[in-house]
Amino acid sequence: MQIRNLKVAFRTYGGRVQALDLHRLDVRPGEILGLVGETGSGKSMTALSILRLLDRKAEVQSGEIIFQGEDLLKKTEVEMRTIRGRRITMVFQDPMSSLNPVFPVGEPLVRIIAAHEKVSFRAARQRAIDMLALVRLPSPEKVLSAYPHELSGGMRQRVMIAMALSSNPDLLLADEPTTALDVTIQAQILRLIEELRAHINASIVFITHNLGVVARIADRVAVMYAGDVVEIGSTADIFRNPGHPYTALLLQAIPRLGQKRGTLPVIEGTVPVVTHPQPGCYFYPRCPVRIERCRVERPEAKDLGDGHWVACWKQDGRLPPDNSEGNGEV
Amino acid sequence: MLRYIVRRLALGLVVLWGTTMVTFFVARVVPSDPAARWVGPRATVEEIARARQELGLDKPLYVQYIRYMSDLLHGNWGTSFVTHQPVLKDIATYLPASLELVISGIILAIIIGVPLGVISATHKGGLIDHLSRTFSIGAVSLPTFWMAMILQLIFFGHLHLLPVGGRLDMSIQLAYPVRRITGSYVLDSLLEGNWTVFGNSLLHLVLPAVTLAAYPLGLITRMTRSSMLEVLNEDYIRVARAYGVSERRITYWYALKNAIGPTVTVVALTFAYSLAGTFLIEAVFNWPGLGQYAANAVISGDYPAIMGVTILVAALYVVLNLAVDIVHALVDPRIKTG
Repeated sequence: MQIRNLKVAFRTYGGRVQALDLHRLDVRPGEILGLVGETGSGKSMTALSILRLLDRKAEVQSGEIIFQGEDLLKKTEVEMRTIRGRRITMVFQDPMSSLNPVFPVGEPLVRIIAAHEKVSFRAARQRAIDMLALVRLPSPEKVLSAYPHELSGGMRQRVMIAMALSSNPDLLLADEPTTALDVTIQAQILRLIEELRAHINASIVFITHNLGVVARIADRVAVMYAGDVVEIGSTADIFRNPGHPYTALLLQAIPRLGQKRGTLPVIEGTVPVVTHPQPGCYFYPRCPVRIERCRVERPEAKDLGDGHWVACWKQDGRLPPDNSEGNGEV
Repeated sequence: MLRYIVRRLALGLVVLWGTTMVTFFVARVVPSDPAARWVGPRATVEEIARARQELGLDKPLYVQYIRYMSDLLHGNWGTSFVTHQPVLKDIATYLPASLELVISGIILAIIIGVPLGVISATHKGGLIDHLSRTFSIGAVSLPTFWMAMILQLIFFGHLHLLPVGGRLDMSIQLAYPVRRITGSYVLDSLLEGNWTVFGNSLLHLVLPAVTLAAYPLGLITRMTRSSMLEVLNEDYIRVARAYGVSERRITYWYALKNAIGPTVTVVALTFAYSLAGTFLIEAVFNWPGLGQYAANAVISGDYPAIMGVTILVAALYVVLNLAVDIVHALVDPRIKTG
């Protein structure tokens, strides 16, 4: 899947807010791409844009999202319905609110399988039970007829994952699937995803603000800032040789064992709300290594080799030697 | 579940007892001389005094109350001072007409109000939404007797489409007697296969039912709209969209089941309210129902009749409230009974 020059804006009372100005994002077949960034950097917006599920106030202004050779932005609503939940599926952040409280969890699951696979309800039910067993839910038949409030958060997220995998999708969008869970449950869900990789043919876009999670499961990492990807590359490249000062600062904010105590470094300021698009780099106000050119000219992504792209004029990601460590959460 | 129902009904008895107490004493605060009414317009002072004694109205209030309650517990609801008939028999005469009117009105309100509220919510801010909101505010705030008369003016006066009042044309009532089964002309004639009466009684039902439907219709529309708006913003609705579920199924199946709770409550409460509160509609359309009976009872100080109607409506509230809670528990598994 390739996204090119995707611009999405929100209409608000204060005027138009540029939520996404995404120049380039590729997802390779079968890979897990970690999409990281601060709150408001456009990670979830990107996922919702792919499924064309942005709410009414959002407006796609330009760009293309090529999925298997076809531009999703040119699809009709009816065509999208055959793609959603079938070729592209999504796991949402909060399993507590993702399941309809007044239906047994099996109701939508079986119905969705029956609709997408064009099989009988009986066959769909069997497939649903198999899927629930696949995500290691004990007594899947019981879970199928249980109501969401009878399941724990971890179990619900397993149900959501089963739902996302039931159609054997080509692309799975996981929007912070572990953020709302306890740390121990997070670890279990991550282990499940690792274990299931053999069964999944799908590419996975794993959205998170937790760099530890990314380091653990992602093949490649894309770092988003203010609606655009500022750096993308293999997980090893990103963690060892960050090219963008923002990435470097994020990595410094991860706490490490064995280092002397002290305050964790923070990145001063917040992600800007873009009401009036500027010519320069959006990270300019917070950047420790900025130069005059950054203020007037937007850096284009440059290939540093091996598919490691960075949108920064300096491109070496070297920081002034005053920072120490952080807490790993952006 | 069964234990819950029994407990709630037991609590309901307490409510009913409280209702008899309040109604009994409040009704007697209003100055009135039921004994004089009992004996008729040309009675002597002695006759009135004797009647007062017969009816027990000369006794202290608490004695009268204890006597009434003991009769009530033995199934005797007293005798109406006005009709000289047992109150229970009077109620059996007037209740079916009211039920026929209220049930058809509420059904009409549900059939129109729920879809209108849903469409209003899914098209929020659109033309349909604005029209339906204006319509529902109008339906709630127009005085019913005024609306009744306007409807009569249009459909009887100008268009000559519908009868002005009553439950049946006099000629049809005389020519085609209907055996009384439920007390509703529409149902009884249908059961008997008497199509002339069925058609005629249905025509008579239209205007009063539409008038009665207006208020609940407005409430149901607004209630459905606002709870649908809330539910449509929930995450699980977006999840359903993300899985390619059609908008229609999302709206009328996944969202509506979540949103229907408040509407159920409104329906039940307006039902109980309408049953005794339809006096104005019944008066304008000359509909011999419970509302007219109750209003007459109040005007003429007919204590047993007042008590009878009050107890009936209070019991209905108790039962309907319980029914609402049971429906809520059936719709939403998170609600526990017990």
